[in-house]
Amino acid sequence: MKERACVKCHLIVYGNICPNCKESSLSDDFTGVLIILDPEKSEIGKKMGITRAGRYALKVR
Amino acid sequence: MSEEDKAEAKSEAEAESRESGVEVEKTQIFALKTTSGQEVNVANMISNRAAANKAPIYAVLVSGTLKGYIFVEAAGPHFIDDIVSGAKHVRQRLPGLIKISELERYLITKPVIEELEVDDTVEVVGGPLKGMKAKITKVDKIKNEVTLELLEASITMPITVGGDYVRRLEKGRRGK
Repeated sequence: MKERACVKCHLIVYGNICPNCKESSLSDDFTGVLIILDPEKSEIGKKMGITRAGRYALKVR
Repeated sequence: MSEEDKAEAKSEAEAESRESGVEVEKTQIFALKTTSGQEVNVANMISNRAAANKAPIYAVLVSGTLKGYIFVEAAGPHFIDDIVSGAKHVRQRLPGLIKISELERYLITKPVIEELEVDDTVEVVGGPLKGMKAKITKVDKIKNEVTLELLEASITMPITVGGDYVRRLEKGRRGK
């Protein structure tokens, strides 16, 4: 299945529903990837306001 | 200085910094040079290996605009070197640290429409009109839409597309 990004939280998912915000508004048109492995220690994660580990898109159209 | 003395000095320095309220920087950001076009694959590989080895790598950033480079946030450079050793598509780790303020331009993406103005020449980057050049006749920042007049079409008719689907090629007279 093609990976798509949640329009709201930018989490990259494979299914039809975003597990983070439970929304179905997903887009396959996204650029940039941010992989957060440890949201508590990551300065980039804090800057982006990410509290959950995962793969995020930087820009979702 | 023996190993014990070194450890003692380190713990003393940490205690001092805690007392003085100065925060010790725990994470460092490094730039990795990769094969162009393989940035996402390298980032996935690093995250998989870091998770498997429980290495202190906290984040991996692949900018959509910067080709051939990725940014890795880790506790130290040697953790990255260990993870990427022998990996395909990884060229080298650039010496020096990257400040988080330098990454802001990649993290905070400004909406394209903010920079567009009437009379600007743009290229349509998505949809059925992809690749066509056009001139902006109206900008609706609230709806995030732009009205275009295609330059290559024989009949001029206004077309409204989303602000994200255009890329500015040339500034119009008003912007100059």
